Amino acid sequence: MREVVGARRARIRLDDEAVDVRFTAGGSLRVLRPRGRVDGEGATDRATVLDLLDGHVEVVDAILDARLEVRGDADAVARIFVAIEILLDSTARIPALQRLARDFRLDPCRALRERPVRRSRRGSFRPTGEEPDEAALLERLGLRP
Amino acid sequence: MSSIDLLRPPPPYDPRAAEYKDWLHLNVLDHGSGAVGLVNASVHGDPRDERSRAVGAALLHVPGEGWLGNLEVLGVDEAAVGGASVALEHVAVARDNERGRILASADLPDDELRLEVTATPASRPLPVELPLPLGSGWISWYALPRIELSGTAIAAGRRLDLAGASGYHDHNWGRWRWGDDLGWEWGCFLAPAPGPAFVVARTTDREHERGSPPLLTVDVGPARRSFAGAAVELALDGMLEAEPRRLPGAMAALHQDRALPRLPARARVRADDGRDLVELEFHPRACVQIVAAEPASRGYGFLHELAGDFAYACRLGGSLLHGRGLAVFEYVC
Repeated sequence: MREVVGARRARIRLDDEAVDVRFTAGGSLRVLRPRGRVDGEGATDRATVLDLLDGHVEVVDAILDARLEVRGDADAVARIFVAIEILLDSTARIPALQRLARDFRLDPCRALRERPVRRSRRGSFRPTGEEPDEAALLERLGLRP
Repeated sequence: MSSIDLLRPPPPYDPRAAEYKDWLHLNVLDHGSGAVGLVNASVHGDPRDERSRAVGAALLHVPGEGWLGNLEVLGVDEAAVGGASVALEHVAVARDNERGRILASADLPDDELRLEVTATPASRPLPVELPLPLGSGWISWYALPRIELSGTAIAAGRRLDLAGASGYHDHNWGRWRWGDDLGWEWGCFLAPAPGPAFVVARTTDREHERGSPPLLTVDVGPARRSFAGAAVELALDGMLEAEPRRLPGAMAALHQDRALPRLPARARVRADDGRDLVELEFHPRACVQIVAAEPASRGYGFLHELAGDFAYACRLGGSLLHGRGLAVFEYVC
């Protein structure tokens, strides 16, 4: 993961909390108070994380429904997703990460789980071209040519 | 129950202990509501390795509601693994060898499913204890093609009395690696009792291009007919349009390339040994994809549980039988 993200600094937002993260030259992870510009930013909320963990929504649905946002230039966004992929892959073999997910789910300081929010995708399950949700997302982000 | 069945943990110094797998599995097919589901509890990896895991799944597909329930993953040392039981915090399956019962429970209120089932055998056991080759490893199993159920499920606030439901139970164990070039096709097709219970199975490669000859058993009350080798044809065709629910979500997110699996829209089984004849056709209506991960090395397997309906016609021992029922078909790759 250190090779993928290098010295870049990213901001992670969950509900109304935010932290900045980056690796030090020595290779340890530093979690910092948000400050100034960052190379990339990811934002979501607790309900979306739980819906993703429970398989009620796919990542693509969370992005299309604006429940998960990743911002940055193309290189930074690609690196953020690779870092997430490395993290997900390791969760299968690192019990501490599995316990962390459980603690997050059971955290008594956070609001109780509400009924899962399933996808709102209007397109087909097997898209063959640009789907209405994809068009709406591009429009919303000002990425339409 | 006519024999004692226990989990088969690896003995000390087993060089393949890391590949240990042990599953207790139960299917529930409620003919009244059309609900089709599974409850299983399993152990993956050497029980002495803290990375090894226990996985519990309770998933019920209810027409009009979709999939209810969830999958639970714990470290193996956090679960209660007994001689013939695997109990997690929210899902548990146990064989009560003393009283000849199988017990299963799930308590997943956030996922709108609560279930408590007691099952007793209603057919002869189907033991396949010899290790069958599977990828670089092997698998053995023991099945009860029909079990009689009692209990209830609370599904999306609706109470289902499972006394009239059909059930199937099996226990699988062995040494294999998720991610190897392996797969299997298995299905249980149950008409309402006292109708027949069909079980079909074959192991395959990961692409399902090569496979062992299928085995088909048909249980009608205490009587069983088995078909094997060239006497059985298992044909899959079409492409299922139903979008799968994929679990656990973290593994589904990792495997975006598996979000649109190519699964059959129809399974046909035909068996003819010159004496007896069986034909059945299964149409899945929903699918769940369970991503199984190796706990100690990188490797993933994808278990697709297809729920649906089937129709059958057969001539067995001179009797003609035909009808419909509910089924689960498993497509693993």
